[in-house]
Amino acid sequence: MESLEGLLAAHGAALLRLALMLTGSSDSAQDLMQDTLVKLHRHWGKVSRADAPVAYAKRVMVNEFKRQAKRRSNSSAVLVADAHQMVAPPGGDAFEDQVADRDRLWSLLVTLPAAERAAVVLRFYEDLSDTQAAELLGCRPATVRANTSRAMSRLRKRIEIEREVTS
Amino acid sequence: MSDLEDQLRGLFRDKESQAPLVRPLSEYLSNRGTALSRRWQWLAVPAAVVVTAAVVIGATQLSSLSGDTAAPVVTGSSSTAASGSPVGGHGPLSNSEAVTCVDQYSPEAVTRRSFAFDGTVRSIGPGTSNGSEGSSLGLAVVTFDVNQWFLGGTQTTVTVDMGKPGDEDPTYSVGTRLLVAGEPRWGGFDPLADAITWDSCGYVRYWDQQTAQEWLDNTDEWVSSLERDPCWMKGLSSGVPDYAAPRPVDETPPIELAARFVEGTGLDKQYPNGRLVVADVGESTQAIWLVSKDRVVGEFRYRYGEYGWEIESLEHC
Repeated sequence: MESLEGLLAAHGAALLRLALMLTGSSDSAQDLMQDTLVKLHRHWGKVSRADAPVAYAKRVMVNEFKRQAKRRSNSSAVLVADAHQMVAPPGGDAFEDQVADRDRLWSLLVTLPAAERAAVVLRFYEDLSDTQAAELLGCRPATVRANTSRAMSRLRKRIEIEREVTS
Repeated sequence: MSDLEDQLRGLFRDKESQAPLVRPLSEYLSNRGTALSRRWQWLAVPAAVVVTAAVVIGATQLSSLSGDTAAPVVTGSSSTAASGSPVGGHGPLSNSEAVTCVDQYSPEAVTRRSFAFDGTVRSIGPGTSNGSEGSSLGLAVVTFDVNQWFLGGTQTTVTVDMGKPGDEDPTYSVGTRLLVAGEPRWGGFDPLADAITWDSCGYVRYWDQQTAQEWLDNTDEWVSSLERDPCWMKGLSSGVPDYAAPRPVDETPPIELAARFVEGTGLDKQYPNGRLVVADVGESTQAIWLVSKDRVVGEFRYRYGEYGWEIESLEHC
């Protein structure tokens, strides 16, 4: 890859989509994209020599996402509360509506710890194997499996709670 | 494949179409974007607000002064002197309440800035910092005679980018004594590299003894704590799992400060009697050196692991 401009032109849309899946909102996705590009820009010499600059960029993005999530940990209680408010269904039969279900699932995703959300996004959005996701995250495949499993379990539990509330 | 897994895959497919559009690289790397990261918004804030704030502050604050006459403000030159009494006031230089800041001013928050000093304006020149595509940020280049450093420097004069003082009701002039804090515009190790003040968030204030003392007390605190117990870092790794250690929320100030600095990519904070250096020392690894009175009194290394930042090693304790 010759330049950061080239990487952005060829893979910017894919990186922004990944940022959206990680953060859950367009504004936050642009924030994450910017922080990622600033880092890539600062270390372009190293990035450009990487075998797969796009994979490198994704790795930077996911790490940056986790780092920012940690930084926001002081306000996580508020975020979780907001998310629960968002997922509170308007009526008792809301779960019959598939669109509403997806909106709620999207909102629930935001409440996951960053490492678990990253694992879910890499596994089910990027469609990576445990090993590939582990390489990108810089951890062991078992960790990816554990985080994915914890995330799925957490989501199921929360969906169940939502269902109980609506029934 | 489980139902939930199917739902997630479908959800992600749906959401793909809602991804925002890619912006030009220059927007990501400049401070112009309005929906981009808070860091860059901060830098853009002075340009958008200072002119308005100058009028508001000028009208409300300067009119309340007794005996202070607004002197002509030196603009367009970096070496001319103002005539008459310097502009003065009380409180923040800019109307910081008009701006949403992620780290609004408080005396404690000054410790999170890269530089902070008590200085008297020596000269005001035209701004040289521009946004992307050459758009002006409406900043002035202001040189100060430094009366006292709280953070980030030792020299007797310093030049920073700052909001313009305004033409009709200037908020400051040559001779105005201010308390000033800010950041290197592009981050990095040198706190004064392309230094820019955070006036719109309340970090530039008219000098008064009480506020200056608050700044000194707060910026001095962690070094004092460090001197009392240079090995306070050891407490981080005992009794709690490593992955939980760098959770600083309710810890004592030194731990909280250090953990926050770890998040930077490279920092060198100078305090009145010590400095703290944070640097990348390897893939996903950062080191913090605590230097007090010209000797390293502590070193610890963090690695970005699966649970976030984890302590890797502690030295000099």
